Amino acid sequence: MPDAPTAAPEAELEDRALVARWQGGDERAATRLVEMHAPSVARFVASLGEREGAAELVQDTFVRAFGSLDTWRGEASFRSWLFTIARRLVLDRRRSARRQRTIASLDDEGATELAGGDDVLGGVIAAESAVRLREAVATLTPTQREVFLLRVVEGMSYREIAGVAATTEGAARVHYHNALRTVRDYLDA
Amino acid sequence: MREDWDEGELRDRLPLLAAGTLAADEGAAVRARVAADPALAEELALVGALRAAHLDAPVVDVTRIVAALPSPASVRAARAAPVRADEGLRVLRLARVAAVAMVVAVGALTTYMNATVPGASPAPAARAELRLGVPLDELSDEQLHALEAEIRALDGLPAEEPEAAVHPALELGA
Repeated sequence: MPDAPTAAPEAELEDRALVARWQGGDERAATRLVEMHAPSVARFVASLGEREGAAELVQDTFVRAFGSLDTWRGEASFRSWLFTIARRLVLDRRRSARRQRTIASLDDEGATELAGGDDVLGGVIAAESAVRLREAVATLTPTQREVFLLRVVEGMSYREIAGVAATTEGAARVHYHNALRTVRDYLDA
Repeated sequence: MREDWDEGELRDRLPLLAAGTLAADEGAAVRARVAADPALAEELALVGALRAAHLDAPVVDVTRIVAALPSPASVRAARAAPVRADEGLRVLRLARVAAVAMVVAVGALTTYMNATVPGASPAPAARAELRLGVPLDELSDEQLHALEAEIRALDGLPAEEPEAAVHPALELGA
């Protein structure tokens, strides 16, 4: 079953143009690229359980990326390429520090403001707090959680997810649907 | 653009719809199908809520990150450098692995010959080949590290025939 083609929106075209401008010597293009992608990279790193060291990992990701921009061929989106670098840095950090991956800390400051707009979503908000939703996702295996969040939060295609998470498109699809079923079961319990 | 998606294909598109990464026309078509299907609408709401619950991210300092980036000129200069700084270490590592591999291969050859042809004079040490599938100098640093570790591990293995005679020509250092 072919995955839905994600749009190559203006954002991706802008990425390519900004990279070309930076390579041509326009250092302001780097600021724009960092502004556009740093929050996503930080979110991704935190989802892998590295919330505390996220700032340093995000910085290292961009330093590594800009130091090897000529290796980005544009086959993967700039964002998913950044995620691949970040993931590798997270794994390197764990190998050197010899510590177990921890589940991302739960934010229990209260419900995150959720997008509203229709009655069905309003009903879900009434039924579940953001805390419980994050608890449900925290019960997933590391691979399921990574794939699930890349699909749900970042809206990545299975092909992009496969590239980032070092898996296959088919496996990514299976992980996503298994994860959704597990989350539902947790919320229904 | 086809719109005759089955239920599985529609469900696959819901997180992309929630994240806004579906193409515009496809997004509109999926929304129309979702509006007509309560089960899909509920799943879209759940996916949207899950997304919203995970949108927070650690604070990032864009200025600090940008300040740490290399300049385009420095990256071009680094690429133009003729020899990598660690190339010498890599050559030494290759030589060490090749030497150890040669010793292991010669030792194995000696053991085999003494086991199969007792008393026979072993042929002069033939050029040993270590069947890696690729030439040694094409191994990546990671592959070299792994090979070194494997060869070191062999040191801990007892010899099959600790008393086997070794032809003087094959003695180490001869």
